[in-house]
Order: sequence, then structure tokens, then C-alpha cells
Amino acid sequence: MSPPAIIAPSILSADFGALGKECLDTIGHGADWLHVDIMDGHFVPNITFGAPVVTKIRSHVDRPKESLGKGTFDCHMMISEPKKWVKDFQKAGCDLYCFHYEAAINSTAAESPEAQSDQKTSPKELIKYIHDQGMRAGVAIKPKTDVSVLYELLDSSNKEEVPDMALVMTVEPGFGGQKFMPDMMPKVEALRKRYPDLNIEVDGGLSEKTIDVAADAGANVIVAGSAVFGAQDPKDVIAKLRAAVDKQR
Amino acid sequence: MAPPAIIAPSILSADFAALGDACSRTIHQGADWLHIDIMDGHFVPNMTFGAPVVTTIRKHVDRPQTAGGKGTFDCHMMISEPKKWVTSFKSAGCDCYTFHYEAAVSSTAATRPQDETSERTNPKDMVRHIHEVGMKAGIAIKPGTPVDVLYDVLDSRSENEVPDMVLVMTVEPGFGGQSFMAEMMPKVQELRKRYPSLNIEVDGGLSEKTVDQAAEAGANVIVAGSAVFGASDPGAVIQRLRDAVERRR
Repeated sequence: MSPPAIIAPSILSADFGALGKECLDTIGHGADWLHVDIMDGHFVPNITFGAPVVTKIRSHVDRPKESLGKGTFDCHMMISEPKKWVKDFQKAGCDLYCFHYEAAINSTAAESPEAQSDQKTSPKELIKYIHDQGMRAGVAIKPKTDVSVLYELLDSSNKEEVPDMALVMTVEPGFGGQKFMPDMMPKVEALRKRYPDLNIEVDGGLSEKTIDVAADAGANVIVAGSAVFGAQDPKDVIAKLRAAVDKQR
Repeated sequence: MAPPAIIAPSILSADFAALGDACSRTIHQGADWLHIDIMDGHFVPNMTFGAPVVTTIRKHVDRPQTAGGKGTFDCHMMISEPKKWVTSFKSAGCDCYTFHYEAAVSSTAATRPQDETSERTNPKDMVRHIHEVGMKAGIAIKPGTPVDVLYDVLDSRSENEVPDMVLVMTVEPGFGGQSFMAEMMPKVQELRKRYPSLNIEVDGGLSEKTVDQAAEAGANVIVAGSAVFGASDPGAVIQRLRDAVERRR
């Protein structure tokens, strides 16, 4: 049986003028995690927020009582130098640091924003580093990236190098409100088949209309932006997303 | 006589969890402009917000009725590719787009975030492009940059290439709450001497304790972050900053 449903609304679709209230409300409506889209305008063609905003909203949402429990901040780092920001985000209150595979394979090994280094990091090294800093690690892949690039990490005999979650993007990252790409489902199926206990997250265009396809493929962590924050009854939407995943377990 | 005082509180020190209210309140407390610090984690070692946040807070502050009037959004672009974001910030509601000289001399001429080109922009090209897109243009210099780099663009015969404002940083850009660097005042003095009608902005560590030095040197646009947003009576602080400048015109 795959892991339990985890509903992670994305604040990319929230009212940025009242983020504290939005985050608190969505947890109250039944959300498990908060999915925080961090974009630096370099890795993706949009800039959203950084650690100072995360610090602020952290004070509005109780820390999870157990690892990856309710209130987890799932930071989706769409940035080109993921290793540089690990410490800042840990301090800001991030629980799960999810970097992009495509960024990790050619970015710096420097460990702070002002530092420089000739050395490059790698997905394995980054995961180990994130764990050393006390957070869980997620690895994300864009639509054009083959799912098999993740196998080497997920199969690592060194537990420290194994990610706690894989994020399969179901849109091209950068903007909310885009259409779900069902052709990403074979990636999810392949992951679920190989790793029955893995947290598999999907992000992009998830809603009551598209959730069944994702749950059927084996996804258990559901990111939904506009479907939750734009809804008349967010509580109901969150419950329906959860039920769709639980039905398939 | 130097131009009138313009008080531009910086939202870097505002409550990011309730930004809409923070912005409308500071305008009601007497602020003229809102100074919005856009940082991309590349030009400076911090990430703050992007166009989506600006779009949201724009709804909470009435557009200025005249160019440079009350409600002006003064976007301080601490980003490494300033030309790429001009159009999206105009759409988001920015009125004055202030780029860094140090970024403009080495960045791309591409005019959208998703575009690439081997051509480079330059300060004159930037100012012209900003004007063509329909905003006022500001040019900022970091503490380590001498003021005379700006003379070429300020002395340009082509009106369209002349910036509407110069920003002299009085701290190293990247974070709020730093100490005012009095040794930056000669730059302000030089500029005021050469350009009596120019809007000269200072940013970093401005407060009731330091504004007299800045006003004395000839600055008229005052950015204050923690001094305003951290105050028990922000309205009184804003008034005192204004008086300090007006006294010396």
C-alpha cells in the first residue's frame, strides 16, 4: 500500500497581501503541508519569494510535531544555485527542501549566498548536505527530464544520500494556473512500482478534475494552488483530493 | 532649490504576512512613495519578492495621479538581469524602475525573462527601454562604485536616455536594518551640485538620527525601512524625515 495522502496547497495562488492569514486558514481547512514556491528568476522566468517571507509565514503556522507531519513547510526551490540557500531556508523554518535535479547537476558547491566556489555540487551531495542541516530532502524533475535520472539517488546504499520525496512536475515550472500534463503519469507509475513507500509529489494543474489520474498512477503528495485558494469551499476541495488518493492506496 | 522631499518607506521592513495592510497604512500615515526591494539572490545574497507580489500590493495602494506623485511604486531592482524584467514590472504596477549600474554594465539585452541573446545592455539602453515601456527610470550605485560613472548617462543629450532619479546606496545592498554609511555623502553632494533639479534618493540606515546628514548633502528622496515600519508612531517619523529635507531646500 502506498503512503498516506498528503495535501500540500501551494501559496503561489494565495493572496500575497495577506499571506499569514492565508497560510493559517488553509491549514485550518485540512491541509497537511504548505507548498512554498521559491523562484529566483534565473532557473524559471518568474520571481516569487525568498527566506524572509518564509520566516514571516512560519510564525503563523505551528511547526510539525513529527517529521513531515501537519504544518510541514515543503519548499520547492526553483532556483539555480540550490546548495547556497540550504542554511538560510533551514533557519527560516523550512522542513522539506526540494531542489531541482536540473539545477543540482551544474551548480556551485558554495554553502552560502555570498560564497563562491569552483567546485560543483551533485544531487547526492546536496541530499546529504540537506540532511546534515536537519531538513528532509526532495528532488524535483521538470517535464522534459526522464524519471530514470532519480534511480541512482533512490537506490543509493548510503541512507544519507536517499531523498525523502520525489516531485514530478505536471506543468513547466514558473507560473500558477497552468494545465495538468497527464503524459507525466508514466513517470509517477514507474516510481511507485519501484519504490512502494516513497512520498511521490505531483505539482501543476491538480484539481478535483485531474486528481484521479494522479492518484491512480500512485502519487500521494498533492500540490494544488488555484484549485484550493480559488475555491468557494477550500475545506471541501482538500477533503476531496484526500479521498481520491486514499481510494487508490 | 533642491526638489521637494519625497518619503519612500521600504517594505523590506514591513510585515510580509500582511503586506496589503502594511502598504496601505504607510501611505495613509503620510508616505509619498513605496520603495520595493526586489532581490533575486544573484545580484545580492538575499531573495525578497518579484512581480506577482507587486501586482498584489498594487491593489492596496491607489495609483499616483501625477508622475512621481503619491502612491508611486519605486521598485529597486537588485537583480542581475535588469532588462529582462522591465515589461513584467510595468504590468505589475511599477512606476519608477530603478536598476543597478553594476548590473546594467554586464547584463543581457534580452527583454523578457525567458529570452536569451548574446547582446549586452548598458545604462543608456536601459534608461531608454524603461522610458519606452512607460515608466520612470532610476539608476542606483553600490557603496564601492564611484559617483562619476553616472555622469555619462545624466549628461546625455538624448532626453530619453537621462534617468529621472539617482539612488546612492548608504549600505551594502541585500538586507534591512544596517548602519548608515556617512562616507557616502560626498557622492550626494557632488550630484546635487551638478544636477540641482535631480531626484536624489538615499537608501540604507536612514532614520531621524541620520536624515539630517543626508538632507544636508542634498538628498531629497528618503528611503526608510525599520525606522518607519518599526516605529510606534510611523506617521510622526515620516513627518520628521520630511521636515529634515524641507528645512534644507
